[in-house]
Amino acid sequence: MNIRRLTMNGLLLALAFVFSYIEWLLPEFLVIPGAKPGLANIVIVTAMYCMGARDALLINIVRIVLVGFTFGNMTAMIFSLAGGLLSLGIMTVLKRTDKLGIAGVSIAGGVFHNLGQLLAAVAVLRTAAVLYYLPWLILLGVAAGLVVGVISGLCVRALSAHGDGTGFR
Amino acid sequence: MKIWKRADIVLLTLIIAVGLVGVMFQQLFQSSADETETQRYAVIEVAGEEVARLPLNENTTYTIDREDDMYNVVVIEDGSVYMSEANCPNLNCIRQGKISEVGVPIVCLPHQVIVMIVEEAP
Repeated sequence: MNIRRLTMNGLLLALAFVFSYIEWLLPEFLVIPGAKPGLANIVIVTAMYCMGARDALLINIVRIVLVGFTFGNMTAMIFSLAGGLLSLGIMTVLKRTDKLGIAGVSIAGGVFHNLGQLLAAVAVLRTAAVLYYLPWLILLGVAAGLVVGVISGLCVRALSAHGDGTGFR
Repeated sequence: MKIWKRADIVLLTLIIAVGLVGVMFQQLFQSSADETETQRYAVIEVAGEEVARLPLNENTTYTIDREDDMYNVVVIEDGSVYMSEANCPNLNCIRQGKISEVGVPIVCLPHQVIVMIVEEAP
């Protein structure tokens, strides 16, 4: 890992961490347990496009573990990992097919993030009753993914306009 | 790098449609369940195992005691159920408020607790 990449990953990690902190400060405004806009994913999606999937994965895992130990608890961390990994996996595959724009990739990411968490809930509670939340989580995932995707798209565009045109790789 | 492509709009519309159809089905299912004359129970499950089944027409308080001093207090009051007290880290279960419909659960993930309402013929 060269110094430029190391520095960039460190900066992005710090940024993602701050987003998670801001989100932790916000009151939960929805009845669905733990529903959040997922602001830190702006950093993850931007990193995925500007740095590559491997760096985005690295930043996301370290962020989730750090946030889990700082503000959360074991349960919250497991759920974040379940959602974060499934979402990033799907986004990486979709980005590779090159059929979708940043918005579409992020929307799919938002939906699969929630699906991952719901599956984790089914596993933890050992009951399918939580599937009641499925349609709502799909709609909330679309909304969060849309916001994250558009903001990330603007970030990627702005970053790509600088330097050698390869973002900050 | 494009933010929007044609396929994005198709995907967005499709997923929203799936979500809305799901919500509509749920609403239909709920309202039809309301009309039947059956006895309702609050079923409390811990890690997938039923620990209590309490009739909704009797006001009671039930405390779920787990190992490691984890507890949740379930209150049944005037046909609805809510979590009045718990020592889980985020207190999400308390914030979920009162439930009185079949299908809508109260969930406490850290304690692996779920409370749901079921209908049975008396």
